[in-house]
Amino acid sequence: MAVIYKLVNVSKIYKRKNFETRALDDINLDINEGEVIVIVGPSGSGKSTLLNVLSCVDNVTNGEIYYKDMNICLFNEKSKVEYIREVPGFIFQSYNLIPNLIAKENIELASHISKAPLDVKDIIKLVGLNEHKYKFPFQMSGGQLQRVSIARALVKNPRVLFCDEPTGALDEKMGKQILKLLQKINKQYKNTLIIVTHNPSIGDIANTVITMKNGKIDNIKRNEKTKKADEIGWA
Amino acid sequence: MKLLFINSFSSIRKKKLQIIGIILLVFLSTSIYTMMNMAVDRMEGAYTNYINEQNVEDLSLTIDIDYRNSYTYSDVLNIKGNIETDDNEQYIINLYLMCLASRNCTDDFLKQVDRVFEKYDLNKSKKQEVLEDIARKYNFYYEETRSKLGQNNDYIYRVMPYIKNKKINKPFLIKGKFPTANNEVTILDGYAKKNNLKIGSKINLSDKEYTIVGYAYASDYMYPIINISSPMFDEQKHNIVFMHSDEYKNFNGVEEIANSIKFKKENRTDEIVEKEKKAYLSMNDMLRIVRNKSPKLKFENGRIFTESFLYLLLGVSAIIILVIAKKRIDDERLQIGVLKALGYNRSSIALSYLLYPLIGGLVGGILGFTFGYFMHPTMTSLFISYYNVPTLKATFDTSYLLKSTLIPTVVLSILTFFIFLFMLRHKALYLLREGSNIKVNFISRIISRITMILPFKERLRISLANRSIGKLFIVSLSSFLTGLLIVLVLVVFDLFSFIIDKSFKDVKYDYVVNYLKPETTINLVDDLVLTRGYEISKVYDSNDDLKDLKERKKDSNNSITIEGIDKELKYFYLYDENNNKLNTDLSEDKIIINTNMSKILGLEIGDKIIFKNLDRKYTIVNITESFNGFSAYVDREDFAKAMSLKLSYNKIYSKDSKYSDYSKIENEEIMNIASIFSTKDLKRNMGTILETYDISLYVVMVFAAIMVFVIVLIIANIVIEENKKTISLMRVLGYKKKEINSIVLNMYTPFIIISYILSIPAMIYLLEKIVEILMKDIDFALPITISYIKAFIGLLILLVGYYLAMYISKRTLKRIPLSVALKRE
Repeated sequence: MAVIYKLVNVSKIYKRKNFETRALDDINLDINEGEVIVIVGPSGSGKSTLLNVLSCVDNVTNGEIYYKDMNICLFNEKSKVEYIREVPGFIFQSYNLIPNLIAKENIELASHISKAPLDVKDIIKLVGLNEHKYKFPFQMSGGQLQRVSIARALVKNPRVLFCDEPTGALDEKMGKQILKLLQKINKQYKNTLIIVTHNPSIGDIANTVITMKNGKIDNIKRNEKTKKADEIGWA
Repeated sequence: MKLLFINSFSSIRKKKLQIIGIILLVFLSTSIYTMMNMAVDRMEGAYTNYINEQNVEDLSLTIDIDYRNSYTYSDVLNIKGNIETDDNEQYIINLYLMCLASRNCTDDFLKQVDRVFEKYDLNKSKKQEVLEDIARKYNFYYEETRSKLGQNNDYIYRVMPYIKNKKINKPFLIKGKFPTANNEVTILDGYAKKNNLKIGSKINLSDKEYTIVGYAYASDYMYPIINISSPMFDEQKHNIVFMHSDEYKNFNGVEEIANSIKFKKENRTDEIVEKEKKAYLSMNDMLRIVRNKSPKLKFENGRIFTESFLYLLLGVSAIIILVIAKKRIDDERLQIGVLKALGYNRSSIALSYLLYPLIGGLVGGILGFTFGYFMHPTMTSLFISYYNVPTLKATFDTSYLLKSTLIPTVVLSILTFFIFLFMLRHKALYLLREGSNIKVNFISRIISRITMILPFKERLRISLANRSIGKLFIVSLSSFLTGLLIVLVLVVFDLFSFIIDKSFKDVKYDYVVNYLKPETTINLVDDLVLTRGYEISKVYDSNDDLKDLKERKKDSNNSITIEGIDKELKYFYLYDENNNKLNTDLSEDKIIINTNMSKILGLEIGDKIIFKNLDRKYTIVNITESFNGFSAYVDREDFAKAMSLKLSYNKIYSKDSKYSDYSKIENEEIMNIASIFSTKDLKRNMGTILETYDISLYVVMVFAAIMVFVIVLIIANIVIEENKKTISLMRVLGYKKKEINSIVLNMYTPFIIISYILSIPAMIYLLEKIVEILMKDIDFALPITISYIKAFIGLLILLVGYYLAMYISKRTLKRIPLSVALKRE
């Protein structure tokens, strides 16, 4: 499998007055294209930070990150914007939808700037939001809101989908539905799926499970067999 | 409660710009209030004190001798025997005797008699008699005030005798001593400073050297107009000199004698002017009124302006503070929900937010008072720089400290408390619920449906803009208020040049010559005018129903200067407000009035006016745009007939260069000339009067301009804060900076433009109302207009300010990492 991301001695250090926090501490990691990667760890382990530096939402303090052969740490503003537009799709725990836009418009927010977006109608259908596309966020449930968030990320036809605690605000049933959808997307579009979660059970759907602790990679486990979303437990 | 206040205080610390904005707004409002009012108080106090201490005259009168009735045949015979005259003068006296006997003295001849009698000061005792009589009748005492005009090239000075026990218009010694010897004088301190003179220096007056022994003011020259042809006081070239009374007698200069009057009880000036035929206000008497009354007028107007604008500025501050308060509640919704869930009631939570108005009001008020207190001497000097009035020492007035701090603090606190109480009405659960703040209201949903046909970008912009109708209203309202302040600045900025330019539009004459008595000499060259002051007796509307004039202040001067003009004019024209030249064929009792008469007195085209002591009913046919007192124009021939005079003139508009130099004018004419103004002098004269008002206005303008930028900065900051998440989200999605600016930050632009456009008529209306109040006291109908170009400039100022403020606020946004900005609150 081709390597899509290569992290070399990556650190992210937050300096505050008299002390510093190492959110990421000398990370070396290869991520394969097309795989489902789940990053688990306790609160403050650095998993969201890892997601953020990979998606260019945040900068590294030391080290290098290669997307294919490009060192994304050296990107200027213009290149960064180009990269963000075309490569990553971001799914947030708190959805981050614009309240005054209906579901369809929230999705169009991403397709509007993409060079080759997927068809909005198809995406809406894929995520099962056809009856809800004209609703405002306040009129939808948590699961529906997360589907809108997924659709918005997906419509860009991203190479990588970054999901930060996508099931964090959902119950088991809703959470599994979302995971099922993500698996379907991964299979259909052959994109790389990177999920950050504190729920270790979700690791069962992944090809690779990375465990983080105190900003370092504690363990990398490859699953010979992956489970379907319906089959996993729920922590 | 203590914890709530601590919590509120740390929120304030996080949003420093907002609390600084509140403090700044209160500071601006209260500092201008303190500064202007303390300055005005000090000046008013100084003025009143001066008037009382120096016993400044209430009025001066000129006594008119009616040569037909004041002298008998034997009086004149007696006079003839007691004076030595030349042959011509002797002839005139003989003719006078003859005409008295035959009772057929003509006006022209009596002018010649008057010249002779005045030359030999023969009217003195007669005038004394008349004055005594009037004094008894109207209960005043009087005293002569003498002065002589001297000139030395460009330097003009008024010389007065120092009289130790002068009752009225006592001189005021600033430094040194009054003259006790013939070669001693006092001068103005300003003149001394400008000419590098000091006590002990020598000064040359009329080819004689004197020693300066002190600095002194003439109390009847508070605004020291030296003479009628030099209406603008020049500190370097104009001087007032006191000399020993013996020296004064021998001093060579044109003498002016005023009968200075002081009423023992009530001021009965109006009655005297109306009823007494033998006494009138000459041009010099009216000039004396200007010298003494103009300071008071200036102070009163300064106060009116600042009080009016203080309330406007405070009102603007209050609204902005409430905007910030609302923002606080929205941002801390979850926190407030937690507090409510813990059992804190609405009142205690609302009380904790009172820190905003308390800090803003107290800190801003104290700083404003302090600044105003220390700046008020500068303001006092600016105001009083034109006047010779000694200022009183500054006193610490606690009432201003209280007003500057208490009023804003209390008003803002009460408003804030009740607004917060209302805004905190939701239950804890509602506030804590995720998305309770994201509910889209009905109007926004309708707008969303309507805009579905638009392209995505426009839909997005509109949706973001109407995300909260309340916030949109607040941005619009703030823009409207900012627009009011900008329009204020623009309207006032060149108001006075506009007035002067309008008043002298297309003026072709170079000189205005006023005569003492009407001339009948044929003059085919100049524009001839017969002018006299009359008061309005009655007014009728176009239906011939009696009409009341607009209400004015009790002792206002209602005298109208009627100018009788000819049909064809060569050198000056009358224009209406649309710049159309007016027809000056005013036969058949037509009258043209000026803008002041129309706006201040409420007269309209079609109204009919009857003047006191003038047997005519004039119909107003037009209104000419001029802002110089109350003026009206009628047919000259008709006017002369109405006054029982021959066709004559007592004023001309001329281009003849002989009027630039008295030596070029014939003796005969000079004897009858009261004054000559050049057009340049007239413009300066008007400018001087207008200067009385502009300092207060400019100060208010400067403060208003600062407030505009403070408000715009706060609004921009709120807009950025409001859209922080949206902006961060769009960056995460890959939107370019330009795209984000175009969609998010420009979305309020149409609302800002519309709000500004609405503020223009609103401010003009407000200013017109303020001017209406002022117009009761001053004879000036200030035109309130704004040109399209100025209006456009105002809009540019607002937009530039808005985008500049946005740029500043965006820089703070850049410092927040995207990941933090997108975090769950």
